[in-house]
Amino acid sequence: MEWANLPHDFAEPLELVIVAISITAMLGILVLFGQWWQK
Amino acid sequence: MAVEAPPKPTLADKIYDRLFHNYVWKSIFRTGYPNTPRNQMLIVATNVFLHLHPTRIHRTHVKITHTYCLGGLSFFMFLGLTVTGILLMFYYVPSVERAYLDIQNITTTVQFGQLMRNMHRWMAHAMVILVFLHMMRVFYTGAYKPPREFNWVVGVILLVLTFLLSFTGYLLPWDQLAFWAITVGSEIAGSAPVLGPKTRFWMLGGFEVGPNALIRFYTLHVIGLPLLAAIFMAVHFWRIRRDGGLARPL
Repeated sequence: MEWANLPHDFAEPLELVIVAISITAMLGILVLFGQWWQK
Repeated sequence: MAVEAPPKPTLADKIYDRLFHNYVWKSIFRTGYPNTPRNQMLIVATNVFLHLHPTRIHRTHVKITHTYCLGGLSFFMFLGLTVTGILLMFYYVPSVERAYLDIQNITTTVQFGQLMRNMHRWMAHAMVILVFLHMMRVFYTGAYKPPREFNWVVGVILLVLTFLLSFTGYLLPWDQLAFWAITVGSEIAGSAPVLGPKTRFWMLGGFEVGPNALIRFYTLHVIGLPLLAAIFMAVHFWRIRRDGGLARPL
């Protein structure tokens, strides 16, 4: 299976998962920074 | 002993009274002019810039279920949208010839372009949902009631701005979905009585969705509306402190 040419029904959910992880990770970093800042 | 009658209020007194001693003014400005030690102290102690966090909070506010942090999450989405939006602006030109191709370029050849575009899209969806849930939480917990009525009005303005940001962003990919969605949307605006057709013309910069509409929507989407939203957000957050922090059960 070629990474650049994933089947559509597989690529779309994968895309959503990666986006969800990225957004959550950003929020996590922000929260951790906030906790460190308030120490 | 004769008692002297109080002096009759002059016209200027009456105007002053009407302007500053009414419900609306008092809902916006809580403390009076700092000419007493109490007012001076209140202003310093409640100043958002001097004390970003409140000196004390109520026990009920510690629980996450009190607000579910919906307002904070909406703001987080706004920040994320700003960052990803700026990155997308590097590659997107709002012209009829280039818009669609630029979007294709972002999703296929730009490093992390697809991720940035998808994050922008999903964070936009999330922001609309979170803002709406935030409004529902405020409504169902009665947090819109005095003394927070002015902040509720600011919140409603922010809700409208969020919808407008979402709407203006919809046209930018310049594909069939975008074109027809904005055609239908502007037709709805145009069907309003009296001002409808004028509003539609003002929105599109013409009689149909074309280059003028694209540049107008782009400008509003990247600078006009976010700037307004940022100003109203600043007021919104400041008001929370001004109105005595979060609402709590009676």
